[in-house]
Amino acid sequence: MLKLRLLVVYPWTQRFFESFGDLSSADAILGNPKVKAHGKKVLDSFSEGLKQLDDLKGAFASLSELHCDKLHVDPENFRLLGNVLVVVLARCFGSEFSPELQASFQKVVTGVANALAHRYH
Amino acid sequence: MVHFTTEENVAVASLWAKVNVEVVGGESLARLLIVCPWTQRFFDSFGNLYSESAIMGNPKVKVHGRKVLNSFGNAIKHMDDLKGTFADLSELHCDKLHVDPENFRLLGNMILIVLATHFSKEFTPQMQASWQKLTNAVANALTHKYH
Repeated sequence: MLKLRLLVVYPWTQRFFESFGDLSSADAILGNPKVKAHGKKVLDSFSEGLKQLDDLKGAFASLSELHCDKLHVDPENFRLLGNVLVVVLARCFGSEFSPELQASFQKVVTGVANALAHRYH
Repeated sequence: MVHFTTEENVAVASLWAKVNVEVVGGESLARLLIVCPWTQRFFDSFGNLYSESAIMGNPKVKVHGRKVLNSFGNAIKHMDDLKGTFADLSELHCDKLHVDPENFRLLGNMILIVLATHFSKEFTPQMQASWQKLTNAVANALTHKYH
């Protein structure tokens, strides 16, 4: 759901997923199995990061190098994905997604985005 | 000039028709003040902003939030000329209020989050994309007269 929204709301991000096949419409993206699989992979690594909130830079060091040296992803996209995650959480949890919870999650996604950008050169 | 497709126009208008401006406006401004606390500096005259509950219950925040979201309602009626629609407000925010334009983007994001919490099922990715385009365009229009 998360990756789908990133690719629909910010369509330029599709350029990183050319091997994923049909991304030609919102419905195509919604049904694309590679999008779902990769979305899960990304969120799993996010969950791992949540277990190491006191050392996000360490937790994401290898992924940071990968995204810089091999994948050539502009770090601004990490912030976009983080914002999409916050919107998805808001949608899923409705009124439970209090301003306090939003502030905490915003801090986490910003921390993860910065950690992923940390090894860029 | 930003061009909105027919589908985007319809999507935005359909959700807008269901929005309680007082509730969504007040909550959007409150969330901005809570999640981005540096924005409180523009609202010194609003009284008690010392805690999340104080901000959420602050009547001046609610009134001003409604005022801000009403101007969004105006934007939706003039999506083909947002720069013209927001020209006076742009000059006001630059010359009198001295607001950094980045805050317009932050408030736009808060509106999206509040819409997502209130309209879960209807806030599809396509709906989010249409509203993101609108909030970005309004932020740009509000920045247009800055110098």
